[in-house]
Amino acid sequence: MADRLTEIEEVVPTRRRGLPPGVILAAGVLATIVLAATLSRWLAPFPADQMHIKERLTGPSLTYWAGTDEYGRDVFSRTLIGAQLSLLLGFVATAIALLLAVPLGLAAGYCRGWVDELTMRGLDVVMSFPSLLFVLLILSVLPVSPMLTAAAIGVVFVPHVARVARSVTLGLMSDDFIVAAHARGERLSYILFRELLPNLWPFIVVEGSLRFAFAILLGAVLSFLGFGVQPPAADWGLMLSNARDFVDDAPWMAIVPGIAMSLTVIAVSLLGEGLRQHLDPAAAQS
Amino acid sequence: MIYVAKRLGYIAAILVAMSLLVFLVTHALPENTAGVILGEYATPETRAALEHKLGLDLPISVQYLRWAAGFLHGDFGQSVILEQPITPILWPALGRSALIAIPTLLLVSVVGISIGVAAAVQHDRTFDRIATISTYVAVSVPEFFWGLLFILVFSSYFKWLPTSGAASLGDGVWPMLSHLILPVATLTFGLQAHVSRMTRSSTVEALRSDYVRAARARGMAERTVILRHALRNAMLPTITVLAQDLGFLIGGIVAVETVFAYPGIGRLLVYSISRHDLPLMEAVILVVTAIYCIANLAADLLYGWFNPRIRYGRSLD
Repeated sequence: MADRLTEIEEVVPTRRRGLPPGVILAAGVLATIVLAATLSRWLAPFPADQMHIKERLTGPSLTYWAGTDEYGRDVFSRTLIGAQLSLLLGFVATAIALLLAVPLGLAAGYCRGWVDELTMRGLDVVMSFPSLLFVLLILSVLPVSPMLTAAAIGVVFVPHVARVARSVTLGLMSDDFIVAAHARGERLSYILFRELLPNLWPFIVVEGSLRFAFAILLGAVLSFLGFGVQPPAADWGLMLSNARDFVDDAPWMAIVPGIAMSLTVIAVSLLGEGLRQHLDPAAAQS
Repeated sequence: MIYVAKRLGYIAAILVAMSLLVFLVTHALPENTAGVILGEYATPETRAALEHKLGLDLPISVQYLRWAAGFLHGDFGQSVILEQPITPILWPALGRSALIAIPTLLLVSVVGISIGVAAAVQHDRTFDRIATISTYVAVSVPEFFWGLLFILVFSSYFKWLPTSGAASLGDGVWPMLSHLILPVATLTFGLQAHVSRMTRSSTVEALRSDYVRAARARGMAERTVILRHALRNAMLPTITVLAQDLGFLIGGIVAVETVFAYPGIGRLLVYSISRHDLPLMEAVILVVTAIYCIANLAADLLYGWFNPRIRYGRSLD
């Protein structure tokens, strides 16, 4: 019984403790990946599209650390340079989702009534599609381009982010400081930008980091299916798609970009999860 | 019953909204079906003639009603690229996908819940730690990469299983099964992690609750406590996750069918989009989405069965 009680005491949220080691590690890994992607032009041993026709599909060696692909291009260099596109795609998609969804969620949560009803039912329709199908529907009518793919992913994430923004806003609206601001007769813009948004922000950051991880995965799937980044660009999803045909002879073509992508996504989602626990320990318990 | 009727009405409304969306999006294209058939060198006259023949010169509302009416009769129209009716192509492909989807869903539930409960019981001990870490890895790696790794190990290295295609029951039981094992394993591997993670945390929560303590105090066997008291209550969030997983499963099937060159509905979709076969694409998207909506309704009803308190409640977020 005694240890049960101590267990319960431990659950009581203690704010502002130090970041857990897992989060610091994840942040370190992510920082390294971002740095490597930014400097890939100088770090990569070969240009992404340099072909060595005589050394097609050769295994890892001192010259080609991760082997070569079917055109004799260096897999390691391409993985390094491919990080740029994947990260950029994830970033653009997340930014678009947040820019569209946060105002929608704020408006729905602030106005309530028919605005809320209309927004949420509209978003329900979007959410009734499985996300990959909805992205494919959008992309089917657009010319193929990586940035349009990112935009489509961003649009598909809008309902998810807007729901979070709305529910947090709804919760805040009944808090004393908002009621007080209303009582003081503050302007609408003051309440929205000075009172609501700063309190909404932590939740948006957490949701955004999780969406970033999803966006990288979805972007990779789309490139893999042939609707995202197009050859001969270096991109992880595209490299994996290419590797499918050579999996018997050149497994390194799949393993190296696959591990790079997995590491990135694991780091981002660990970071998001850690941030969530740090900002809101009570909610993270369940 | 009223609740079910209400939900059905809601689903019908969503489906109408979706069919409108799909129809309008695809008809917003400058490139219409006639253009796809004739190619880029068609003269305006032949194009106009074909548009007239296909009814593409009618007002868009009439076109929509025709299309939707056909849909309700199970007639999905004509595929442009394959030059045959869509209905006899679509159902067999859907059936082959169901052969992957249904076993996956069953396995995901069984494996995910078992791992989750085992981890919760072993809370903070070795098994729990290993389970938690592998959950992270399983969720963060896209299913097509797992698929490639599985091909690498089980097909290329051990040569136990075929890498691509499908076989029907007519070819024998093992050939059919052997084509299903890797796709199902790939999908299960990623999806069970969502379920086990949620089951673990909600079971941990339930095991801390007063009713579990009371059950233990009454001297109930630990097994009964876990299965009857903790698990039944812990199932609610798990069902929500399973419903969400349906969406991931559909996305996963599209990717996995491409990896394993499996002739299901996912590949049909990818094919139709890459070839700009609009009628085929519309049909596939609408049928899959309808199934998704109905499956979500089933999840909601299951939720009500596990939790009588909300049985007649509204939307279950």
